[in-house]
Amino acid sequence: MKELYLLAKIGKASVAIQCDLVESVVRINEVVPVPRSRPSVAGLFALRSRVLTLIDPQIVVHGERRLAPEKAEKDVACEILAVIARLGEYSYAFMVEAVNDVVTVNADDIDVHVDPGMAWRPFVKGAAMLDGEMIMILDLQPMVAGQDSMAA
Amino acid sequence: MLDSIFRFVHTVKGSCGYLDLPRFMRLSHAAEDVLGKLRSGDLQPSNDLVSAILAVIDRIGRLTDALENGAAIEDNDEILIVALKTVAGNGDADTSKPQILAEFDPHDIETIMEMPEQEVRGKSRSVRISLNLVDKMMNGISDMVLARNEVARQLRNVPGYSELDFAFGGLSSSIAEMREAVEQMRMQNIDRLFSTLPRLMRDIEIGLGKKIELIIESGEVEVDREMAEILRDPLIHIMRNAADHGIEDAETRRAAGKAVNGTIRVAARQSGNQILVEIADDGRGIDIDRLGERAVAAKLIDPRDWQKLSEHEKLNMIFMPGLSTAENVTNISGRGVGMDVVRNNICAVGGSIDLENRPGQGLKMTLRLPLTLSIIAALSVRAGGQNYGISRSLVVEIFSSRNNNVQIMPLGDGEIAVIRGRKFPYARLENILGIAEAEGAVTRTLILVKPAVGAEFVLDVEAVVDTEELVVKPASPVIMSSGLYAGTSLPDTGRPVLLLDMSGIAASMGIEEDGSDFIPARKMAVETEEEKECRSVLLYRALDGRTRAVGVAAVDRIEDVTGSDISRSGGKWRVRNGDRLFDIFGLDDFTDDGIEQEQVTVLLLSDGGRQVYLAVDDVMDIVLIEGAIAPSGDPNEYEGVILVNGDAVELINIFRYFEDMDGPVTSGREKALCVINHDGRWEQQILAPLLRGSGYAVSFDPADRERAQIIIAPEGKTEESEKARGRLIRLRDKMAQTGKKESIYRYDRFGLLAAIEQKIAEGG
Repeated sequence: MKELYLLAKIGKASVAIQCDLVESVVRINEVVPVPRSRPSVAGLFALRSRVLTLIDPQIVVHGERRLAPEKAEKDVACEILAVIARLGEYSYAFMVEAVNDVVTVNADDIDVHVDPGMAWRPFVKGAAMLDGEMIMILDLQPMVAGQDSMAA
Repeated sequence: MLDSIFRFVHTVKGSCGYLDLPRFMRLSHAAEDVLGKLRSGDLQPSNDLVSAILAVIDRIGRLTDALENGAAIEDNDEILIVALKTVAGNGDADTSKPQILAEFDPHDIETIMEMPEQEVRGKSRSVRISLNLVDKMMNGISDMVLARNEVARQLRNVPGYSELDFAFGGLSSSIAEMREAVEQMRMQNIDRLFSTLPRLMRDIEIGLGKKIELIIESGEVEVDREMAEILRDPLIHIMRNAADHGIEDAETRRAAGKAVNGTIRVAARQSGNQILVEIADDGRGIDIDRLGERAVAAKLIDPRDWQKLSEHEKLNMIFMPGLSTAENVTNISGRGVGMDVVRNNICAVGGSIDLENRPGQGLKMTLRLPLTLSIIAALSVRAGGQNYGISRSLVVEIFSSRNNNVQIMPLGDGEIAVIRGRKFPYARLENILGIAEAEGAVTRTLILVKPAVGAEFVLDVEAVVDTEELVVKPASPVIMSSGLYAGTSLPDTGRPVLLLDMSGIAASMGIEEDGSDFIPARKMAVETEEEKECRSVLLYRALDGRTRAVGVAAVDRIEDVTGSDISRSGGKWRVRNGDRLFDIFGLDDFTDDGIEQEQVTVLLLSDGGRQVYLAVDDVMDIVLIEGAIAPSGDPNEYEGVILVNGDAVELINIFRYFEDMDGPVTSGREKALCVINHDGRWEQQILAPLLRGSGYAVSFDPADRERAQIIIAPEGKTEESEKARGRLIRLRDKMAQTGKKESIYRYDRFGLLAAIEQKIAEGG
């Protein structure tokens, strides 16, 4: 069974997201911070007439940003690239460093026993070899549920 | 209330005559007749009578519907009318139709109301439409509103272009109209649902033979129509349970020291993105042990497992199917099929039910339902350089931080706000949110908030920015998890704004629910005949530092006057207001002829005609006093002494100020003479000055009775001669009239003066 995946980069990691879930890929200018929210919640932004939540997956996984985009503070105007995915009732935007391609992956080619390490493990369904690179197939739902990683 | 019902029916009758609707006329005439007799006291109300009147009104209702949809209703109105007249004991009931009378027992009103209805309740023009479609339309409209706002924003960057502006204005107003219409489509005031409850309660009362007071607080809450329908059955079922099983019978209640009539309170309010509907009763609450017994007996749970359950889990057993703690399964409820269905219905729409049980005191059920869509009137405030929204309905008052009436004082590790003597929890919004305060703000704004859950508190913000209508949508769970936000919105600015959840903020400040939601069972009145005297008095600190009280009825206004406007001349203090001089009291301790202070707080007292000022140091509070007023040592100065929070406070006698005033009051006619039949201290010190101050001559001399225009006597004194009766005014001690003879409450100044005037006018 083949499925389409969006290839992207989160920090330095190569990841794949099921296209079924992806609504769009956008550049964001203005992010409004949400006080007292989890560190991984970068804030809110407006997309046409919707208000969406921006999640920073690096903070979810590592507890901190290891590869910072070009910005000093969170709400200074700058372009943030984000993938908007629909998880259940709500849509969330996930910050990414780059978006590369859309590829077809065969379900058989996904290895579910591969261990991406403690930090990534809760968010990865498996990995696949594509063009000589190991790509992590992401499970986005856990990124918005539960607690952020305490890894520092 | 009877008056308004009578007037309503009277108007219906009048309109019927005008519109030539004979059946309506006969029905409403019969009802009006009976209501008229009830109003004048010739007839006493009874359950049967009320049922009969309701039957007639119901018939009028059905006829109205039938008019609209053309259905036919059998013309057996006569039965209802005759029934009504018979129950009303009308001696000359129509005897020309003996058959009808023989057919039924007029007291069996239930039968009449259950007569077969051939007619179908008419529907006005309407269509059935799928809810999905309505939902789509609603979402589309709110997106349209936001898109319009975005265009508005962009237009600000475009130089003014009148035709474009005009066109855009047209577009805006069309959208606004559509929005309103669509809103009405889904949302309705929860009052529509609640308004059916009193009648329902009455039916339940009759069925159970208990008297229950129903308190309804609809809180202006709007709900989705679908939600209202879903709420209906659970609400009714819970109320029935409360009435049947919760509220004890009169004997049990009396023995427990509770007021004989039970109370059920139904209240609705909005909290963030939920609607809370509370049903609270002051009955016996749930007996958990007995619940356990029943659960075990019904084989729903093992005795050992029952022991292991927490209090909360045990309580929730009432939602198990097949369980009933009812002693006897009554008609009304108790077949054990109710609560599980109720909970399923509520949970199916994403709601929940909470229970708060106080054994012996009552039970409170809180139904929580999600709001599907919300357009909220909001106040936008700035804190830490960022804007946030606050629902306007929760805002009590807004102050500048420079306002003298507000003080922020340190208390322990934090601070509290003191507003006009009342203390409130206080916090800066930046602190609650954990953000830095913007620099440079010297004057801040304080907002007194009453959240849906929790007591009032003061929120300190940088500034209030604007008021606007916000389309609030629930935010994703990661945002909502902090509990501080009710949702997000996109206002005209195009920047997302978070709506603050005041209940959540109160919780984060550690403010508890103020507990007044729970109905404490009212203590049984010890002597049920005696009505307690209740008065509102204003507590203030006089310039000599003592705390005093003055009847609120006498206080027109509280003002601050400039010190330089107050001066003493000829031994009297006067204050200038505009271009008039008024007497001002309370400055007895001042020795100079002028006032040093820049501002003086004054109370403007009025007796309905004239005004005097009373200078005070500070106004403290308004309290309700019950019980008798103890006599004061100086009745000229003080009406009496009252007990406030354990302290004795003197209640000032304002009449003496008016008596002291200069100037004639009467319009020049000769002063009418009032003879007071009893020369008690109160009559001498309070009543006489009041009458004199109003321009009457007063005498205590019995010899003057002959020539007096008015005779004033306390209740209970023996009657005067025939001649005197017409000039007699009786004074009673209690607020409510209990005796047969007409009397005036002795503290009812206006009533007394009005009565005197009237009697004098009548006397000629």
